[in-house]
Amino acid sequence: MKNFTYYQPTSLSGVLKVLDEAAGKAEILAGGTDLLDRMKEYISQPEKVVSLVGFSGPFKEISSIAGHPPTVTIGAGVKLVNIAESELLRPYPALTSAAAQIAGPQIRNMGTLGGSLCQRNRCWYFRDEHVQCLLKGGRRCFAHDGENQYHAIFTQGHPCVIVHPSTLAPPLMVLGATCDIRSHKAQRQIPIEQLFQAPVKDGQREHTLAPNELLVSVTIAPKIPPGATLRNASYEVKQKETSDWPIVQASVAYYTEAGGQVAKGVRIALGHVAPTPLLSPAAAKVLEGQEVNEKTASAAAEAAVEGARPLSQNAYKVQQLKVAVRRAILLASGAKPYWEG
Amino acid sequence: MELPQVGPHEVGPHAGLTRCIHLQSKAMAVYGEGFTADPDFQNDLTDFTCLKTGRPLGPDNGPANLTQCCNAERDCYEEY
Amino acid sequence: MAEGWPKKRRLLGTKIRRIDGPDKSTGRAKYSYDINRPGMLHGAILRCPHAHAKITRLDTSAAKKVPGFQALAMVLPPKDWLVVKADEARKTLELKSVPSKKKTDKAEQRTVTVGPGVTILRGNKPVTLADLKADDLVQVEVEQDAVGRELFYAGDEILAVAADTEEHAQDALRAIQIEYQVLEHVVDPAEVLAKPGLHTTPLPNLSPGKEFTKGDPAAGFKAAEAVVEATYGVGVISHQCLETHGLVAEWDAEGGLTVWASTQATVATAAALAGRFGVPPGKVKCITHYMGGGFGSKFGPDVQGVLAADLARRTGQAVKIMLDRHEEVIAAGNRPSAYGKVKIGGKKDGTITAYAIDCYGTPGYTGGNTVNLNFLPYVYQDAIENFTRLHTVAFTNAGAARAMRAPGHPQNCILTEFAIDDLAAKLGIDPVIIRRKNLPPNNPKANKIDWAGRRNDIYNEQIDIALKLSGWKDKWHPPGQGKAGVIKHGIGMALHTWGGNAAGGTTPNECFVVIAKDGSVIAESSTQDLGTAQRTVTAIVVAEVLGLQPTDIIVKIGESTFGFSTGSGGSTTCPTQAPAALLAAQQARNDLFKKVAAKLGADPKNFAIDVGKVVDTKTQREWSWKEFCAKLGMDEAKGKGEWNLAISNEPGNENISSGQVGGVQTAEVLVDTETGLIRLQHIVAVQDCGLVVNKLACESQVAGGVIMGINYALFEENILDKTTGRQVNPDMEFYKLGGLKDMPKITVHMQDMPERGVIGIGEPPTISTAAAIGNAVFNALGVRVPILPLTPKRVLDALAKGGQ
Repeated sequence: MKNFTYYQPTSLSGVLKVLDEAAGKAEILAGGTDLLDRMKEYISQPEKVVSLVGFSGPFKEISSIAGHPPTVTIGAGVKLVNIAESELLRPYPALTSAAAQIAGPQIRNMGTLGGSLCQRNRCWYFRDEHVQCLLKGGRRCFAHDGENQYHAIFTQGHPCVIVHPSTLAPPLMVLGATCDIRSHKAQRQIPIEQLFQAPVKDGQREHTLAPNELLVSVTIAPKIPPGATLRNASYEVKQKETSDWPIVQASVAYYTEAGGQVAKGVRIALGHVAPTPLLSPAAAKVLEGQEVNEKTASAAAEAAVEGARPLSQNAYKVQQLKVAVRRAILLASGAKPYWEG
Repeated sequence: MELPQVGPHEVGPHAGLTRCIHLQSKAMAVYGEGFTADPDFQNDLTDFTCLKTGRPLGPDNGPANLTQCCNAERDCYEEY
Repeated sequence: MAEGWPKKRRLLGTKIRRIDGPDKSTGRAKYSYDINRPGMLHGAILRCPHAHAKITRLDTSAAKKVPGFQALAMVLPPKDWLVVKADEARKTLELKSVPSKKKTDKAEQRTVTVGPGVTILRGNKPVTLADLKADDLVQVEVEQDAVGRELFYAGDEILAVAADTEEHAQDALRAIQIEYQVLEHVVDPAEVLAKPGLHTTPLPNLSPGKEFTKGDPAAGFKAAEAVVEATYGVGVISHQCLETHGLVAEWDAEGGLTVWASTQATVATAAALAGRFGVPPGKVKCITHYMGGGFGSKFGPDVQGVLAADLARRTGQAVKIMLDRHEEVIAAGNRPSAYGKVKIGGKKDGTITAYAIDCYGTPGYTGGNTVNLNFLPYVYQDAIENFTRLHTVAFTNAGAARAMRAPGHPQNCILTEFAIDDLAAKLGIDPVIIRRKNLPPNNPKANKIDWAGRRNDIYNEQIDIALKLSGWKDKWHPPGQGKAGVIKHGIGMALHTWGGNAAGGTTPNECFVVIAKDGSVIAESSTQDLGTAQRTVTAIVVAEVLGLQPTDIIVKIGESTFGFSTGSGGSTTCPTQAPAALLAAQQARNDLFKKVAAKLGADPKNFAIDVGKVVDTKTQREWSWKEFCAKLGMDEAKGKGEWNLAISNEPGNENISSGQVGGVQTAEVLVDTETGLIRLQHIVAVQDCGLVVNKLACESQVAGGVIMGINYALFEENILDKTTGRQVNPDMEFYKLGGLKDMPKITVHMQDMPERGVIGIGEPPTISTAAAIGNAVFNALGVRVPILPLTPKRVLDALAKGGQ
């Protein structure tokens, strides 16, 4: 393993300063569940590693969940287990249930929100030291004609067909989250959809942060009128119930007004099906203004998979995605799950 | 060296007597010289290892099995 | 004639917790992986990244400059030579071959220029030219000899390095400059069948099929009331031992070698290393006190063990090589795949009139026999009058197969049991009718207590028990005709058989029992505990005989120098070691009685053991165990037990150990027809195993086998990429293994048959689980998902096809 310089600044501003000076040669260490794997497997060999955990624990700017629903800010250093179990986040089962199902307890006790959103993809070609894929300076994407059962089904225009690995991104997208991003001298806010990009070559990440920038926190602020009820849920299809990645994931959020049953402000997001987490305006539009039932949920699900272009081995994911969208919508509505025997 | 191209199923008739001293298999580790009594062995389910390399290929990079390791002309063969 | 098992069982057959449970759960137990010796170095192996290639250039000089680098050893062993002349000035070494008894032997000569990349070893120590004289026996390693070597899979070993840390060893590997000529490869056995001329493996890829026919299959099919034709199969899976393969090797000043190895065979591993390095077997010691799983893949030092010992002799320091997870999956063995075109015919009364199969599978790049399917049709072979089978081995550029828990049986079981349920569906009958109708008959010539003499009765009883425990009567429905809804319920069954010679090989297994004057008892054997609770088995047997508790017995196992033992394969460990421990304990007890009787002036025949005490049955005098043993004075009481097949066959010994078992399993599943996900509800495993020594450990073994079966039914598969020839999931991330939440309720029923003696059951319970699950999924859907593992993709694909 290449020797690296380890930085453990005592403040967040210290971290930002190191990142600024590192000029792209640093990796950020939070829970380490992704970075350490990549380093040990010779996928990433950074010159500098910057810890987000000070000697007295994680910096307070990134380690708390604060606010008053509907507006809640989650620090990027908050552990997955604490998102899953947060009282403040209870109105957002789309997010908490997704966090509760990530990997296993060991990962949830170490992994963080920032890590979930900024981790690198899990494509098995990318993760193989001896395969030079597009993202490692190679000329081809091996998944296109290779083993692609877990790869993207929305592939149009993507030379690299990874799926984005974050299970927290889709729920945050439907909950109208924004990201607080800081660098040594600047600070900016972006809607979370703009945090992601589809990488196509070496040096590009699955996120849009500049090398000197740090994701500091994410703020949930779903737009709902006073008196309305927010409804939200996520649904994942996982082969195993323990320590597995979702094959597909859908998150949905909408509100109903007092006494009404009609879905408004519908947002639907799809996970693990494309190089970025995807908002599906088409599916949202179908449900918008409709009463939620199996029929309308199915119609929205059909719209969600429109335009899917699966690869040689993953057409089954299209079917599963449809089911995930339908079930997420029905879960959000509070209907009795028809799929529980 | 040219090795005879024999399929893996063909087991030499007096294998126990003429095999190379460095030929090993699970059946031998379990049953010793009585390895032919192993039900796995009797059903052709035994895989062999060369003790010189610790691999299923010998020092000459050729297959280690009961046919090829009874071939006294093989360079690496050592009489039992 | 042996005294045999006690008629009254106090400990035997009861549920007893493992005596080493606290050590294992607290981490006090040290596995080979945990061993760190003073000054120990770490080894790492350079592997070919290509599926098939030749080495065209090798330059190790940069690796030798990496900080912490200590030594390098090539995989192909250096040859023995005799020194003709060592010329220090010219730096040349003239060599001649060692004369051998071989008729065809030709005298060879070689002159080597000594410099970087050349290592001379004499008596397992590196030497220089100055150390050598004429006629010295040396091994000369020339690294450049590796140029031109053919490599057969992505993972094939080339050389190893040792360095002060794991990281430095890895860095050294990556500093090696090596180039390859990449050759044609094939990783898909179907492609081998499609291109018969291929030769990308040591032997031609396609090995001719082996055919066997009994009766008249054509007539059988003609007589059938229904015939089903289908293709079934199961992919390649890996052993995935939690403790990876490997060892720590350390040479001593006297030229002896000690290894701490993760092995199923301490004695065979020590013997293998002794042969490899030309050391007397008595000077090699293999220690395996605790072991993290082998499943048939750990019967010797393997290449990594040989390399660790080789690096250790070159450096004079201990060297550790334990494979990492990636290496464990690609290079430490796997279970061959099996795919078969099956045709089965039968009648409404359940008779199978004929069975025909044309199948193939791949054992990787070599070692082809492992894939053979000689048991087909499985379980029912003796009752089915007409069958034919043709099996073809397809070598591929992938890691070589090794024995895996019940070699061949799970594949045979799937290829038979799937067909039975499909036939039952076509005949419109409950598949249990077919199973009962085609059970192997009792052999009237066999001993009535043996398997062969009563197997039909045992199977029928097992089916009865399984039907009752699974609630079959209320739960079974014709395939696909359960309750409406997207979640479909199904139940399925499968049978298995196992075993032959369970009492080991030619040299008897040994166990020694020593009773000391303080009443302490040591039981000693070189046998190893793979996680099967063998340590506890020995303690229970000895404690039973001596009236003590299992925790009173000091069990010393897992060192090759503790008397002879055979490798733990073929489910032979318990049926060889339990009898050896029994005989040793009885002999030690008799020795104790004799020695104490002399002191007391009593008749040893009058002594009897009770719990914690010894009684003189004539005088009714009693001594506590400790009081009695104290009378040994300066003596100790000893016993030695020996057991193998020949001894077990001696008259009077037939009730002590035997072989062969059957088992019946049922599975109950829920299948989500929208997502293709399968959730298991309940597995019932009915298993006979003769005399139960420890009911708790027995049930654990069965549950463990079932869990393994569940995993290869639903999750496990080595996935190889056709373009790169590399396995894409050499891990535990996408090589999926179920966790606790994925496991259903498992009901284990042990059929205790003490009259048959001890029979090993490590292997049988993993055989039929997957076939039962596959049949349960068929029962749920009314559509066959033909290939394991039953991934959501395969379930949805089958449903899509079945709906047409």
